[in-house]
Amino acid sequence: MQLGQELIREQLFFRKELIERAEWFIRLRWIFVFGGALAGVVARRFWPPLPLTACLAILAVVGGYNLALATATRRALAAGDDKVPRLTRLAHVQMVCDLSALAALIYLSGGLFSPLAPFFLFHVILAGFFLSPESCYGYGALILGLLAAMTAAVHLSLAPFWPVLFHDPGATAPPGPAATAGVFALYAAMVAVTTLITTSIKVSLRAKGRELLKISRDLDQNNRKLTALYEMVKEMGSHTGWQALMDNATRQAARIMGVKGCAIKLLDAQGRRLRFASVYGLSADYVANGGIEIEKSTINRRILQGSGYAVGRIQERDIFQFPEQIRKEGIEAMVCLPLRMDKRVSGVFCVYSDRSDFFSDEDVQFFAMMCDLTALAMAQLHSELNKTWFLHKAAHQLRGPLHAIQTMLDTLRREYPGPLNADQQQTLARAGKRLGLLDTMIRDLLDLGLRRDPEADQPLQPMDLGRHLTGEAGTGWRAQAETRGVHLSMEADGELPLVLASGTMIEDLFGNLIVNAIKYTPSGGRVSVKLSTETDGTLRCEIADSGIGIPEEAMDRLFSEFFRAPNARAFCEEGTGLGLAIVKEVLSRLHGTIRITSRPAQGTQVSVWLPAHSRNPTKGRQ
Amino acid sequence: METAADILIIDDDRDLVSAMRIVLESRSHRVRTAFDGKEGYARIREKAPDLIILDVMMTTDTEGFDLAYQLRHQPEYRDIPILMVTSFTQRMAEDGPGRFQHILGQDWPVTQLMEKPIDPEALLDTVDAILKG
Repeated sequence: MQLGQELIREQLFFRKELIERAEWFIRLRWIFVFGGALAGVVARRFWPPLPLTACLAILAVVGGYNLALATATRRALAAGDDKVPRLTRLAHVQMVCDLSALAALIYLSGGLFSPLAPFFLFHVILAGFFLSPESCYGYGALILGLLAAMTAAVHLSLAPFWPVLFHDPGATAPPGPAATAGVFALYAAMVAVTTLITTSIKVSLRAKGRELLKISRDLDQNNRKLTALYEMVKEMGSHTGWQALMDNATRQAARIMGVKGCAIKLLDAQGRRLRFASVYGLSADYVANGGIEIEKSTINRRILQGSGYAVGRIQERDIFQFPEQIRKEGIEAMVCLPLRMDKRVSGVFCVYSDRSDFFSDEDVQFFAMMCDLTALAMAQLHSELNKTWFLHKAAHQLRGPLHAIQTMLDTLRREYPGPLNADQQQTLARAGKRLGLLDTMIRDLLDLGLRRDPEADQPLQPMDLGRHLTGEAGTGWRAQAETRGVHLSMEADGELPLVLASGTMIEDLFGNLIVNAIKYTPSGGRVSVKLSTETDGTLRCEIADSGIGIPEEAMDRLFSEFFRAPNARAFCEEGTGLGLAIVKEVLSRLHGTIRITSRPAQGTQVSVWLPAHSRNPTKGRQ
Repeated sequence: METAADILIIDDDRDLVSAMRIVLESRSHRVRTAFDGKEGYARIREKAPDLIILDVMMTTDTEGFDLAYQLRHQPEYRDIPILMVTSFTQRMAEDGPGRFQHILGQDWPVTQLMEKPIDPEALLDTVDAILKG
């Protein structure tokens, strides 16, 4: 199928001229008909023996078949893939018709000696360019045959002799056999030379055209590959997740290289094993081997030392650690190149094909470029994530001992080592509560730290807040409200715009606000969460509670770290004073605004506005 | 009452290990301990336990995972249930470049995961559930 299309493409390229000239031939013939008629009338004035009626009749016939040809040409041009063969058939019909008409006119103007005879040569040239070399030779022979036939007919008196145009009006017989033979030989030589010249020029033009076609195809392919690579790099640059970046790289590499599968393997911390970090197009069985032991794999050792590895026929090599899996996977050829991050080889990037000798030298070079760009993007993200990692690690280190103390405390409180008296129990319970608070504080500090580091942000995406808040998150808050004896209602008002955010940001933002509302509302109170759209399309979320409220003098400091209003401290021990600081950071990242109004002992209303990303396409227009 | 089992705790936090030991021994389980992956593996080779309680971040960030993977690829140990206890979160895994890449996108090679702080009752319930299989 592909080969067929290639052939059609090639034919189209060579026959483009034929297609472009198809209508031109029709026009040319009209000029010939009318120009010929006019020339005939003029010639008759100077050359009375011209059989004008017969000539005009022939031109009329030409006009007639030209009409038919014009229709046929239009139809052929409108045809799809069939265009070229149809036009070629039409070209043959035109050639035969025109040669016949021309032969008749030449006969009427003196036969072999007619000044019109050289017009035959134009047809040889046209056949040479537009039709096959064989056809060109055929038409050359036909022309000589027609000239020979008309000369013989006149000489054998089978047809009347017409005087040679503009020559001797009184002549009643053609020139003698010697002159006839000489002129015929001359025409034969002209036809032969013209045929040879045009066909040989055509053959070399065709070869050059084919070369051009190949170059243009290569260029086209390279251009497409480079564009795809550019898209790949652009997409990689926008990733803030390590895994997403690698998955994008393997998926795109497999697509661009047109291969069966692709994988990124990374060295573990000890540098002993290469593990599959991202895989595209390979079976789960293939990646289930838990990684390659460097010591056992000559190839991977070589790649990690910095040299690439490409193999066209895998059966011929038995230096793989898992040859059986490679066979089962149907891998016939592969290219594996080192991933260099920060001047150090950190992993291997491989493409796998199920066709032997699939990768050309250019493919390997191109993949090397792709590999280096991927490594560059990975190194860049790696350094960004390292900063974030420090925060995580610090929090983890702080929480480690805390968690040990909590478990030890719980072990005591549950009286595994032995019974406790009431005072001891109570003291341990209070200690446990304070530890829980410390744990929350560390988590909040980590959140705040991550929020303040723009590079640590996860990618923003359009989110449907209505669905998000009433989903899993909503269930958690409802349970929390129920435990505290608070009635929580959540509603979304009509169509809501999508907002650009990430899951963790939304949880940090609304989690803190809703949990605060629940926490500072006495049992039996109400908390309502209402989502709506402002007239300018902005999303509005209103969280209202019937809780303890915020004193006027605390309003200014609400968003400061570690600040808790005195009535809040009195009402509830647990609290880090970091919740609203986190809310503020998230809002600044999401370009949102917040307004808090409150009356002590009556309740608090918090309104949050988030800019709309777009209308929610799943619902109708408002 | 469940039958007593041979449980191996591998965690670098000695205080936490001793607390877990007290809790588990209260149900007559035999408890062995190790304080890093290497020592843990040595204990396993001495005698395969009925259950391994395993921490993630010890000497290296992924020591627990590495040991779990190693065991999963050894036929004689692959069926030992592993209860992984950790303060490690999915978000840490996503943000940890190059450290956890082999964990993400694959099934965690453990029977059950438990987040720290360990609640003694929850620990006993989980251990019982795993041992009953």
